[in-house]
Amino acid sequence: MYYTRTVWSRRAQCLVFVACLMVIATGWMGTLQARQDMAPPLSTLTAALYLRVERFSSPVDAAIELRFFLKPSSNGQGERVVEVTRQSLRTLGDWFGPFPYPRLIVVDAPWNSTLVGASFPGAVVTSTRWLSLSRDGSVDRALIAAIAREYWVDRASSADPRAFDEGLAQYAAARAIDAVLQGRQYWARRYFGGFVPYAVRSLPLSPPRSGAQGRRVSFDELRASGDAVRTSLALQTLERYIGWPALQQGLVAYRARFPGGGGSPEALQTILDEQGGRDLSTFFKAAFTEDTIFDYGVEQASTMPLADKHKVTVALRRYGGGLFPVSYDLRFADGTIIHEVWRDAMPSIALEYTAASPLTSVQVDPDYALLLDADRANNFRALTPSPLANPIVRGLASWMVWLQDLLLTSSALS
Amino acid sequence: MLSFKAWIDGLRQVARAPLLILLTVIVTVAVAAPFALVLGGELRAALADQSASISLGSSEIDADWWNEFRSHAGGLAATFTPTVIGFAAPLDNLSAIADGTRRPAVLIVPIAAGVLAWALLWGIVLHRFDRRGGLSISEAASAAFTHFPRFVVISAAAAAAQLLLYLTIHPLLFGAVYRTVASDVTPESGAFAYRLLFYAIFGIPVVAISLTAEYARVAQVVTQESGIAASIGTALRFIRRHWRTAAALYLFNTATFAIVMTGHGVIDSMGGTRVAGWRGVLIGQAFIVARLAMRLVSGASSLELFKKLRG
Repeated sequence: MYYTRTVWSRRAQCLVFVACLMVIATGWMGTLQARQDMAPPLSTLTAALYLRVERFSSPVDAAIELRFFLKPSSNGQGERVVEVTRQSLRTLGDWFGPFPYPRLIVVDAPWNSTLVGASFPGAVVTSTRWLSLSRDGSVDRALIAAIAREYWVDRASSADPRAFDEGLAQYAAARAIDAVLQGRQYWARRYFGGFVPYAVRSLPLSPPRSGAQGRRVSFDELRASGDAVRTSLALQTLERYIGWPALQQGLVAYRARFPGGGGSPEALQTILDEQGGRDLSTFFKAAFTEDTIFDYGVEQASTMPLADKHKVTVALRRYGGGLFPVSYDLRFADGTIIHEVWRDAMPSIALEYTAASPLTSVQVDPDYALLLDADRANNFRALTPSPLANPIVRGLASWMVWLQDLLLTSSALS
Repeated sequence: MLSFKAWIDGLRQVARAPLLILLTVIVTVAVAAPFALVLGGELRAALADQSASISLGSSEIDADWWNEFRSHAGGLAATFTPTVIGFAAPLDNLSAIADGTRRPAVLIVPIAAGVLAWALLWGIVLHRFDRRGGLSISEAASAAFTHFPRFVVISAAAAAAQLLLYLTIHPLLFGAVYRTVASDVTPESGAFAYRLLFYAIFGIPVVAISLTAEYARVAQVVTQESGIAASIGTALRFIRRHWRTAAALYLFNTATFAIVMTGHGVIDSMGGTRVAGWRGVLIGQAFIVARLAMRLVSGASSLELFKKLRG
C-alpha cells in the first residue's frame, strides 16, 4: 500500500490559514449585519441560530435574497423550511404577482416562542420542532400563512393591518397551503405535553387532485379575528361564484392598484366589474358586511303516495338577508336527481312535483358554493333513514376500540 | 428473581386460561357496545341534518366533514374525533392520563360501567388463578357476586385517591414547577426531559395507589378477610414490606405493555394506508385483546407474589 503526502510550504499554510479566517470573519460579519437589519423582536431570536443565504428567482420575481436563520439542531427540517419557502414564493408569485420585498428573512424561532407564525415586513417566523414527522404539516402551514401575509398585509409597514387585507391573506394562505402541501400533509396531533407528534395517514388534509380551492373548514394556523374570517369566507364564495381565473386577475390588478395595502372590498368590486363587465355590487354589499346573514335551508319536505305516483312538496327558505344564487338537489328513490338553481330574491320557494318514486332527500347548496352560509345544519333533510356510510361505520368501530382502550386505561388506575 | 418467577408464573397461568381471556374480551366489548350504539344513533341524526353525500363517497372519512361534524357535536359525539383511528387511540388515552387532560363529562358513564364490569371480573379471575384450575359457571358466578360489592368499594376508594392526586399534585407539578424549570430558554429536548422526569415523579403515587387496590383485591380472595379496610391494610403492609419485589413485578408488566404498545405503533406507522380501514380496526381490537391478557397476567402474577411472600 502506498501513501502520498503533500508537503506544503510554511508560507502556503499561512496563506490558507489567513484565507480561512477571512471566510469565517466574512460569514460572521454577514450574519451580524443580517441580524442588525432585522426588527428588534426578531434579532433577539436569532442569537443561537446559523445563517443560510439562498437566492430565489421565478418568472415574476427577478432575484429575492432568502436569509434563513436556522437552529443547528434542525437537521433535515431546515432543508424543508427552505423548500417550503421556495414553493410558497413560487405559488403565491404565480397567483398574485411579485413578492413585495427584495429580501425575505425566515427565522426558526424557539419551540415555545409566541412569535411563531408571525410576519413582519420582509421577515417571517417559524419554528422547527425537536420531534417532528414529515407527514405533519403544521410547521409548513404556519410558514406558508406567514409568507402569504407578506403579499397582502405586511406590504404597508407603517399602516395598521386592516381586516380586509387580513382576510385576503387568510384566503391566499388557505389556497397556498392546499397547493404546496397537496398529498403531503395529514391530520396530526401532538401528545404528551405537545412534544410527541403523531399523524393519521388515512386522513389526508389536502388529498392529491383536491386542487387549491381553499377549504370549507379553516386550518388551525389560519385562525384570526372574526372580520378576517368573514372576508376569507366571502372570497372563497366569490371564487366559486365567478371562478378562479376571474378572481385571480382581479386580485393581481388590485395588488397593482394598492401596492401599499389599504384597499377595500369596494375597490376590488370595481376592478372585477371592470374586468368582467358585470355588476357584483349586490354580492359585495352583503358578503363583506359583517351583520348581513346568509342562511339558506330546507323548511319542509314531504312525499305522499298518490295513486301510482307520489306527491312531493318541498319548501326552501332564505332565513337571512344575504342573497346568493344557490343550487338545490332533490333526490328520489329511483335515483332521479333534480338539480335547480334558486336565483330570485323571494324569501322562500315552494316546490310541488308528481313523481314516479318517493323523495328521499333535499339539499340546498350541495356543492358548497356558499361558504358564508351561517347554519349548514338546516341545508339537508333526509326523508328516509339511510344506512350509515361505510367510512362512518368503520369510524364507529374505531371509536369502539378507542373506548375499550379508555376503559382499560382508566380501570388500570383503580 | 422472585418477581420474575411470579411474572413467568402469571404468564403461564394466563396462557392456560384462554376462556378467561375470551370472557374479558366479551365483557369489554359488551360494555363498550351500548355506547357505540348510542353514538351510532347520534351520527345517524347528525347525518340527517348534514349531507351524507358531501364527502363520504370516498373510502375514508373526509377531514373537512370530520371538522364540520365536531363543530356541531355534543355529548358522546364530541368524542368522535380522528384521534380514535389506529395507534392514535391508545396514544391519546395514555397522553390524557399523563397530562391530566379533561375529558367530556359524559365519559364518566362508560368509565363507571367499565370499573363495575372489572369489579365483577376480578372475582372470577382471582379465584381462577388462586385455585389454579377451571371454575364451573356457578362457581364463577358465586366468586363474581361474592366479591363484587367489596371490589367496587376498593375501586371507588382508589379512584377517589387518584382524583385527589390529579386535583392537587398534578397541577402543581405540571403547572408552576414545570414552568419554573422549563423556561423560555430551555431547549425543547431539555423541556421534554423535564416532562418525562415529572411523569415519573407523578407516576410514583399513582402506581402506589393502583398497586394498593390490586393487592387489596388479592388479599380479599387469598386471605378471605371480611373487611375492606382490613384488606387495604394488608395490601399496604405487604407493599411496604416487599416494595422492591412488588415494584420489580410492576416494571415487568409495564415493560410488556411498552413492548406491545411500541409494536402497535410500528405496525401503524410503517404499514401506512395498508393497515388503514377495517384492517386498522382489527389491529386495534387485537391490541385490546393483548392488553386484556396483560391485565390478567398482572393480576395472576400479583396473586402469585402475594401468596409466596405472605409467609
